[in-house]
Amino acid sequence: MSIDSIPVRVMAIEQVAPMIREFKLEAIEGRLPAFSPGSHVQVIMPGASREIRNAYSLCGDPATPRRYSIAVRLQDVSRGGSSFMHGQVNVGDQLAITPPANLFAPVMTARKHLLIAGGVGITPFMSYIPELKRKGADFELHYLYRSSQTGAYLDQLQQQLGSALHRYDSVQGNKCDLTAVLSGQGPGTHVYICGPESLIDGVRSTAAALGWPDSLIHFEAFAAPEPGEPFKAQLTHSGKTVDVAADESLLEALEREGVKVPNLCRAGVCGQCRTAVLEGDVEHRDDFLSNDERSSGSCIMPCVSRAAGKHLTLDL
Amino acid sequence: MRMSPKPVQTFRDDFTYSNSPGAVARFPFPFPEDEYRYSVNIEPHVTPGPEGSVFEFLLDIDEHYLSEMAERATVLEENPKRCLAMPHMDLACWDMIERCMTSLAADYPEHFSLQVDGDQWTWENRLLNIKDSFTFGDSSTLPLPPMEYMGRQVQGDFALLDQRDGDLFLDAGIVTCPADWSLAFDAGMSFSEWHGPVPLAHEMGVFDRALKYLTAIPVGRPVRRLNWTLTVNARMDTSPETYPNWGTDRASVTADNVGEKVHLRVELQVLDRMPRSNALMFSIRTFLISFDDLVTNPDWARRMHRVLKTLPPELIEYKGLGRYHDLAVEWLSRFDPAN
Amino acid sequence: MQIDPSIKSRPTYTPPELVATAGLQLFVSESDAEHLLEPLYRQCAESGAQWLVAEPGNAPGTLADSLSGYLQHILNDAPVTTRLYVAGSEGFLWDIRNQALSAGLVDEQIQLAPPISSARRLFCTHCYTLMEGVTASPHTCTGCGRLLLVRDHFARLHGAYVGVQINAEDPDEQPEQEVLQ
Repeated sequence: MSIDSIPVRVMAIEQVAPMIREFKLEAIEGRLPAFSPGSHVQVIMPGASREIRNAYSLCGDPATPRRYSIAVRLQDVSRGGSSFMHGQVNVGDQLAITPPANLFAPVMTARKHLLIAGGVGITPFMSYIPELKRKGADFELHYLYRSSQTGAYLDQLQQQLGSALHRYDSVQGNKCDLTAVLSGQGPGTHVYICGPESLIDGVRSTAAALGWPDSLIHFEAFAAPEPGEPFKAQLTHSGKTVDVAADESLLEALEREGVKVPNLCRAGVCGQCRTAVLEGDVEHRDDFLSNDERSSGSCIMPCVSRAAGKHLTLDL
Repeated sequence: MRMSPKPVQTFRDDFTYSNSPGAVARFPFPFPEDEYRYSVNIEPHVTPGPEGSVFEFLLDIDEHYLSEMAERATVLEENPKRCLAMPHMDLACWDMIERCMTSLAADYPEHFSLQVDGDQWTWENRLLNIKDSFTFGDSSTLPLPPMEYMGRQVQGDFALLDQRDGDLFLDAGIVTCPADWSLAFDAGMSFSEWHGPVPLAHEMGVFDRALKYLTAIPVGRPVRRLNWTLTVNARMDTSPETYPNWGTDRASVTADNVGEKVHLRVELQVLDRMPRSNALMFSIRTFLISFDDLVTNPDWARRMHRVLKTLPPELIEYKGLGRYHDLAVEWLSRFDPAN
Repeated sequence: MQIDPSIKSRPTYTPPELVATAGLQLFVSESDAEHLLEPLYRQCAESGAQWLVAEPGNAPGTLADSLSGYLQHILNDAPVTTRLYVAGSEGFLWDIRNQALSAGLVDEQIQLAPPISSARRLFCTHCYTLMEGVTASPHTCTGCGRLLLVRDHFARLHGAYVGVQINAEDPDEQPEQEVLQ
């Protein structure tokens, strides 16, 4: 479901890694709601021609909820969201965010938590760690980064975690041996992965080969939607034709035209925005539909997926 | 607050329960159409709602507050296991305390107040003469376990639903006025498991869509829906546990006493995402109105007749109306000459 | 009153299949259900598979101390890639599953074979007593003496079906007994 926004002011900005900038936000009126570890908010950014919305994990301690921290990685190839945040947002500026939602909560009945972070994927774990420590939970963090670009919060993590932190700087040639990390674990160990697709796929396939049950592996993908080719979407109910530009998602184009589609994560994982396709081939970029649903071509997740060709007809 | 709590009336034995005209007027009549069918009838619970209505605030307190709290205390005395909370739900129980105390103090300041100084809280409930200071999050500083402490001060049943693996689990609750379900048996069940006995709705995909909607509810955006059944006598505790006590009520309805005995029972269900635990607080607020009072509204009388007349046999059976359904339809027919 | 055969909370079972990648293959059964797991066990007996057997007919809701203790001992040191295969009466299946869950296992790594009989564990919704070996409905509660309709609504944490007084609305009713499927 679509949700409305909370106005916030940027109270502080800090460069926490060469490509990562952290923003601290406070409510303009009243107080920000408390949040659970793993929560994210969407930041609604006034773009050049239209609104851009990106989801960012809340990376602060849930016990001090009244100020939210988000950390944004400048994407090399971006649709504009991260370059806006890095280039145009200053202390004192006003932004709008959505209330926190959580698709990546730690499983509190786990016996052990194995956290695997890639680059800016460290952010959700920054909200997990204070909570896990307060509960005296057993956990370890494996943090893969490239110090020339990412690797935020290392000093803080080293201090808080000690030997529970395992760092792998690819610039220094440190590689993470996933097989070693995933071997010898006991029952009730849950694995959480946040980072680029390649890391998530690597962990999942290594775990499967070792015999891990799938339901112990949890992940949150952290790629901003990639740009694509422009196409047209024809809507059968309204008769409208919507032009989808190369640097906007189908969902954003529909919203721009006043068509409301239920949505939550805006990253292809939650399933809320599923829309029926009547004509046209789909380029699926989501993590929600099954293989059968994809090959049937009968539906699309408009927040990330696009037309494979020039045209789609949608049941909207 | 619109409806001041009145002295204690009973929901058992002599059934002194009554609705004032104001209570009748604000009763949440649940039928938008002449025929009733299952649907995902969930909508945003936007507050403040219409002034004086049952939808005005997150939680509704009305003239029956003292009666319902007395009834709850009686049920728990008879069977303390009507309230339970699994150990991993402690944080969710504290979330519930926060949601209830902050909204009651804000919405009904004449009866409740809350002072917060960091994690040192002081709560006052002037209706029940309660004043307690405690450390938020530390259950050892409360006189009762957190779920029970709060549940004894709010009208309606509560269940706390733990969200895991894209599903919801009934892992804590205080259930003293259910429409025929048992917390002791259902505790720990997933969403589709505890809805297992409901006929027809599974095949319609109602529960799959409802679950998808509910797991996506963010903080600060509660939703609500209405549920209904009929109850003979103004009995709040229609649990399976006490069914041996109230089962014979169903056989006591006659053509002459329908108006006085048969009650429309409506549940205002509110689901609210709780921030620290990510669990859903499921409030089940129960309203009872006798048919005599119901038919003082001619539109309600007509519609109630039509809903009951067209109710599918599976629902008549599931809602336990079999013994008096025909009597009720017959009694209501005089208010619906067209049918 | 009819027993509803189509209730969605009733578990369904499929014959277990061996998961080759398991770090530990663990078999637990009642002695009269061994045949259900034997073919699987033989496929992996060489590689350190373990098998625990219980005598049938333990007190409701509990396992014999020795079996439960042995099982706990194994689970404490088991790898996360353990696969558990269980066979026996329906109540037994869920007791083992519940013990495994408290040791940290998840349902995905537990396979429950179809129960060896249609006998049910019954939970009396009035006095909360659990009864084993119930084969017909209605059934008299051994705790409060009420005559209970045995429903198909099942609770995994109890490993039991719910029973509700069948003649609460008309105590003179004498419903006929039906054999449970």
